[in-house]
Amino acid sequence: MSLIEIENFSYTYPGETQPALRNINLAINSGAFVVITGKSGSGKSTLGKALAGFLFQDEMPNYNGKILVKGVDMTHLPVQEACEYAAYVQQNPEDQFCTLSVMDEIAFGLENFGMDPELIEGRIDLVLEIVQGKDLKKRDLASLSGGEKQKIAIASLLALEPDVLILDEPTSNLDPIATKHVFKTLYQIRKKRNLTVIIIEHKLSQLIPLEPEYYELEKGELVPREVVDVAQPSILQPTIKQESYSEPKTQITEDLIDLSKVTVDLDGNRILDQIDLKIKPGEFIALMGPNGSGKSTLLETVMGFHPLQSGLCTVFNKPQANRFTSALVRDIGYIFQNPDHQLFTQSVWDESTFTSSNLAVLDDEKKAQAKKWLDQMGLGARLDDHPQRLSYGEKRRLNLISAMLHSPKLLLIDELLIGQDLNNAQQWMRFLNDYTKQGGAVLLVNHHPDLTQSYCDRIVFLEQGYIILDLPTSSAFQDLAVLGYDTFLPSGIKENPNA
Amino acid sequence: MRKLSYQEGETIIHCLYPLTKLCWLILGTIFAFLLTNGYLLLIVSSVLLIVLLLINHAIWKIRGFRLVAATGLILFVLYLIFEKSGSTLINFDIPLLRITSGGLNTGLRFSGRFFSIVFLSYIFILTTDPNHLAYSLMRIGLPYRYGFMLVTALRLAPILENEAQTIYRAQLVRGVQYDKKNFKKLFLLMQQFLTPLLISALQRADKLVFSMEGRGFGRYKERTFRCQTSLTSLDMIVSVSLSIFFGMLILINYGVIS
Repeated sequence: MSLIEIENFSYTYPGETQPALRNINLAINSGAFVVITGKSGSGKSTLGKALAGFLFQDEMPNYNGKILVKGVDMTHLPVQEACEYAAYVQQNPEDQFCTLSVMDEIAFGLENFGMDPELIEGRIDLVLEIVQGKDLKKRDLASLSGGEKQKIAIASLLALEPDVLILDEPTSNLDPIATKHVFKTLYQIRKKRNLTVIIIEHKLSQLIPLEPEYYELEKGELVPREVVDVAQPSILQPTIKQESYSEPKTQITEDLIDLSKVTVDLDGNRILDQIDLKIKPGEFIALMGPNGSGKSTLLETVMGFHPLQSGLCTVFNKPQANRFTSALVRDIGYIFQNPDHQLFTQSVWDESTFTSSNLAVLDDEKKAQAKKWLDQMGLGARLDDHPQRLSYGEKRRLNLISAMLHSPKLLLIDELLIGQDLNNAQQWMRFLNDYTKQGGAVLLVNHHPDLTQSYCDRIVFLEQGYIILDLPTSSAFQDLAVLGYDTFLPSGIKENPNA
Repeated sequence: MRKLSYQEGETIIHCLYPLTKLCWLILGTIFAFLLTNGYLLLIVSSVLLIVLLLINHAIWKIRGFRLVAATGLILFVLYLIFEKSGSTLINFDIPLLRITSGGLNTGLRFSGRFFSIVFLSYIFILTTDPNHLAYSLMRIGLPYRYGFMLVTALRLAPILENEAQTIYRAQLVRGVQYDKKNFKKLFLLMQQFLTPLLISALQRADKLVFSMEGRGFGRYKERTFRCQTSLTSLDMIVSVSLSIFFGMLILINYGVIS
């Protein structure tokens, strides 16, 4: 008998008519290492939550079928009991933490189950050793990096010794180095503990060497895949169009942005150090680097959110220190990481035209442009919907349109592609590429080497607040390979570094 | 400027059990109201200021402290000028600038009380890890569901503060003109600011509930606590010393000891 058996399972969210999951059948043996992939919105997270028993806490949950873990039907268990069988690690560890320190967080579940305090300490040491995080034991959660937080999130659930560990896109907020560490940690946990691990993930290239079982969700239906299937471009690298580096697509050579020896300190810590950066019209620049290297701070500094410790930031030929942020909005479109933080109005249409309306540039031409882009991005039929009713990917598309409609000369974009499948990500990169062809410039924080290689003209690579590399894309990746940043390389260069 | 929040340290007060400090915050406040002699309250507030400076040499840089100091001093000066009871101590021959014993004592009493209570609160906040306080309260019987309301609030407060700042900035970059002091559409702007903040807070609360229940929170009526710290001899020594100090002041204040 398999450890997990899903029989004819379907689920529909409250208030929805279409099921999120349809007739799922799945058997997973003890100790399996399973990856569930699929397009954005295909139901992957829903399946993960169903396996952990999270979906059945409403009075009248709308589902059919059974989910058995060790023969126990998860659809009938309260979450507090279900976690003894299947533990669920959320996408963002920040959402999962409910205490302030590493030890309290790992102890939390054990205390809830009434474990003897004298035994808790030993269990904490054990799980920290498993996730290779013993040095984190005395730390506060707020002081941890993204990868370290994910390790503690995993450790806090491992401490409960569940039979199944489910991870919902555990690396979506992590850079390639941290991603590699998390996957390696999971693989080792599974080997050491014979734990059944189920990972819901888009980033498949780093998982292939770990030889997991693959399943793909397509419109709510689960399809088993072989490695050869998932290695096909349809899932891993859907025909990324190679576009060689070209000179900026406009004849204007005046710098839009000119940062000279810019240094920024936040809370007494040096975040940016001696940054020199110029951006010209028509450039599509990828801003890359490990988590915490200062990428977001760099974008915020250009926008005037942080005072300079030293150096000069010239924005559209004027020192930025002399300008209000609102005065820069006409020339700069800015997209933050979290879509929910930048949706202010009551309808998709109002949201798309919000900036243009505030700047009093919303004419018929802009309205027609907004309509065209909304249609192009698949939002044309949802103009009257509340923006918060959109899916994550739809919100990101709306953010993009809202930031671009008033025709800024420069777009500053922080992590646009998080949690998106490659087809979506490609569509957006093409959209931005078209924008740069018309003379706009884009500075995009991006962790996706393949898409960077295909669409960006130039890479600026940050490490601990320094720009260690600022080169055209093709030569930048060669240099990154020489510098040992393997995890930041596109698959082609990784396989053949001398290419 | 630094936030008024817990700061790690190794002073005697840092080492006290959180509930000892909570008790003395309450008792100290009561004593400040029981004392009516302005000079005694001056002694109390001076001692507390010295303690505060020993805990944090740069107390002036803590957000809000300068306002507190200014408020206390203004309170003192106002009573000094407008309270004319008692004998004249200094007479400048200008009607308003006659300093009386009643004015001085009342000024010291009210500003001394104000300073004492505020300084006590500063000492408590700067030296007490709120997380430890919550766990200590749960260990003495506060139902853990309520105790964790405090812990999760402490966890979420800085996150929501950061989110509020991000939302404000996101509005600025979308052409909302806060930084030009445009108050014309203040209500609409507040709505546009609070809506994403509220939605974000609710989403976080929702995920946090699953995170906590997904680790057995609420499964049993009782739970254990890893942290086993409790009262030590240091708490006893400090409590006895403070009892003697305040006891003496009360006896002096009410004339039992002259």
